[in-house]
Amino acid sequence: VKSSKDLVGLRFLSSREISDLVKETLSLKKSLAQSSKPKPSLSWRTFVTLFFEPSTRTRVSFEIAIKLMGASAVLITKESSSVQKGETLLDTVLNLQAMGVDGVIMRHPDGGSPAFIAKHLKIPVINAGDGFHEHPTQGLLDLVTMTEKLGSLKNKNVLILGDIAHSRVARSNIWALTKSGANVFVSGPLTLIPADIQKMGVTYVGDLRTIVSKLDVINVLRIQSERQQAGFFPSIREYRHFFGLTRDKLQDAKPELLILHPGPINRGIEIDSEVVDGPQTLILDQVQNGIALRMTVLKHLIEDKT
Amino acid sequence: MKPKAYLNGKIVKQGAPETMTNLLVTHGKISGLGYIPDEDEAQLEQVDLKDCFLFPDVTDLTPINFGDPEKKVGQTLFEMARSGGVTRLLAFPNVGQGRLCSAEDYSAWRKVCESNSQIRLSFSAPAFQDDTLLAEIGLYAEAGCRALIAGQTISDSQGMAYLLKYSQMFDLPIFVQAMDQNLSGDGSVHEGEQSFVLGLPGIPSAAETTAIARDLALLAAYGGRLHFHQISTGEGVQQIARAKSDGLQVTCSVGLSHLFFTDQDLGEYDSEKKVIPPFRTEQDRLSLIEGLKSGVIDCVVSGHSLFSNDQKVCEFSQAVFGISTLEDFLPRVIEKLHLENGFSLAKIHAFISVNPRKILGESKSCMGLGQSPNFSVWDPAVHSVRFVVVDGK
Repeated sequence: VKSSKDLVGLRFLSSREISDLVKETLSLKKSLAQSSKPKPSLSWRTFVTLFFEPSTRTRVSFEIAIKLMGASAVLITKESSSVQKGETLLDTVLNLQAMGVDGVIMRHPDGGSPAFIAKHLKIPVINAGDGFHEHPTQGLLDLVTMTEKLGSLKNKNVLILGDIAHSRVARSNIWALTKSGANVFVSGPLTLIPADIQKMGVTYVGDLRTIVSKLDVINVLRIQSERQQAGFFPSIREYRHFFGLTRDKLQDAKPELLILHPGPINRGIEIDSEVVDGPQTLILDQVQNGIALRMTVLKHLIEDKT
Repeated sequence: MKPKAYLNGKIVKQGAPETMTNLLVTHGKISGLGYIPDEDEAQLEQVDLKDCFLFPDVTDLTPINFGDPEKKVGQTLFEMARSGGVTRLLAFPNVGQGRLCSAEDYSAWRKVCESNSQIRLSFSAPAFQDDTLLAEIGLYAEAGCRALIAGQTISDSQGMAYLLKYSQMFDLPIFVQAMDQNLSGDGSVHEGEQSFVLGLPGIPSAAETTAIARDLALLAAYGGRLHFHQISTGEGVQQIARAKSDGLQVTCSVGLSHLFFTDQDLGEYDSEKKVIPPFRTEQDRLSLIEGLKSGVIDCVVSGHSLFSNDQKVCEFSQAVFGISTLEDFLPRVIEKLHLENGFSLAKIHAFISVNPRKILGESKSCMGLGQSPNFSVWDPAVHSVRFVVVDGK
C-alpha cells in the first residue's frame, strides 16, 4: 500500500505490505476491543462508496469503518448516479473528485473498472470487488482471520472450494495466501476452474477427501445458481454431492480445521448447515475482522499520506 | 452339475499366437487351464472344440437402446448377440429430448437390465439432459456408467467444451457420432455421384470432417477422452491419426457394414442400406480398412440398431436409418478382415474385445483361473459361431 495511492488488487502488494496490514489489523482489533471510542483520525473526510452491484456486507463494513474513523460516507449506486443518464464513469468520478471527496470505494461488475478510474484520479481508489478480478479487502480480511487463529500461514494447507473461475474472492485469496507462504489448493468442477491455474502457484484437487486430513483451512465460495443454468455443472444436487462441504466429507479432517466463507451463504448447497454452525466455522469472525481491516486500509491510504 | 471341459480349442489372445488350451469350468468358474488329468474325464462333461477358436469377451461398442428404465428388456436382442458371438453389449437407457433419467432411475434400470440379461453388459448414459445442458454425469458414474453418449455432434461448442472438462473428473469417454447437423441437414445418403443420380439429399463427407476437426480442437484445448463412434471417411481417419500422433486421448470405431458397402451398393433405393453415417465411396471404404491396419481405428462395431420390418419396407425417404448386423457379427468380421484382408485373429480380437473394453475401463481378463469365463467359439469349418459361454455358462 505504501507503494501505491490505491488498493486495486493484492497482486500488486508485496509480502511485506500484506503481512504489515495483517499485523496492524490484529493490533487495531485488540485496541478497539479495549476502548469503545476509537480515535477519529479521519475527521471531516468524505468518502464515496460507488456501488454498481448490490452489496450488504462489504458496503456496510466500509461505511462503519469510515464512521468509526470520524469521516463520512456518501453512497452512490448505479441507479442513483448520472451514469444512468448516460454520463461516462470517468466523468462521474472526475466530478466527485472536483467536489473534494477524499477517496472512492468502488464495486463494479466488470474487472478492471477500479483500475481504470484509479489511473485518472488523484485521490485514492479502493476496489470493493470488480467482476471476477479481485476483492482485495476480502482477501486481506480472510488472511487476518486465518492468521489470528493459526499464527503464521507459512506451509499451512489452505483449500479454496467452489467456483474459482468467476470468483474475485478466490483470486485475492490466492495472491494473499501464496505471498504469505501457504500451500494453496483449489477444488471445484473442472468447468469452474480457470485454465493454467497451476501457474498461479496453486494445486487443483478433484476430490477434497483425498487431502482433507492435511488441510488447515477450507475457504468455501458461494455457488451461484446462474452457473448451473449456464451449463457449467448439471444440477445443484450433483454439485452438492461432489463439492458441497458436508460433514461426511470432513470425516478425516483435523479437529482444528478452520472453515471460512465470504458470504452470502447458500445453506445446503455449497455448505451444509451443520458445518456452517459448527465450532470451527469463522464466518462471523471474518465479518468482524472486516471492520478493523478496512480501517487499517483507510489509515494507510489516507491518514499516513497526509 | 458336472464340471465342463472345453477341449482342444485355441484361445485367441493379444500379442501371441493362438494356442490350444483345454479349459475346465466348475460351477461357472475356470478351475483348470491347459492339461486336464485323465482320471477326471469320466466325471466331466466334455466338449470337443478341435479346430475351433475361442474369442474371449467379444464386446460391441454400439450403444444400444435398452428400452425404458422401468420396463424389462426384450430377449431377442440377447439371442441375436449370442448368435453373432457378442458376449458384451453397451446398454443405453431410453431417454431422449426432454426425458430426463435421474441417477436413481438409472441405477434401478441398470439392475433390471443385469438381472434379465443373458450376456454381459456395460452401461452408458446420456451426456446431456437437453441440447447442451450437462447430464448428472458424476452421479451416473457412481451408479456404474462407463461411457457418455453425446449423440451426433452438437453445434454448441461451449457445451462440448464443458462436457470435455466436466467428464474428466470421472474419467469417462465421450461417444460422439461426428456429424455437423447443419451440413447433413435432411440428407439420407452420401453426397456424391450416387446421391445426384438417385435424386436424394446428400450428406457430405465434410459433415463428418468438420465435426471431427472442431471436437479435436476442443479436445486439445480442454482435455478429456473422446471416442468417435463409427467414422466413415478416409479424411476422418487421417484427422484422427494426426490427433493420436499429437498425443490426444482419442479413439474411434468403424461400423462393420461400412467395411462391406459403398454408396454404389444403394442400387435402386435399397432402404436396407440407409444408414447413418452413410456408406461412402470405395476409396473411403479402403481407407477405413487401412485405418484398422495402421491402428488408427481402434474398434469394429456392429452399428446395430433396432427397428421393425415396416420401418424399412417403405419409400426410401420414409425408411429409418439403421442396419441389422448383430446376429452374424463375428463371422462377418472374420470374413472381411481375416479371410479377405489377412488380419490375424489376434488383431481382430483387439478390435472387438481388447480395445473396446479398454475404452470402457473393463480391461480385466475373464480367462484366468478362478474367473467366470466369457467367450465365443468360432468354427472355421462352417464359418459360424458354434456357441457362446457367458459367465461360465
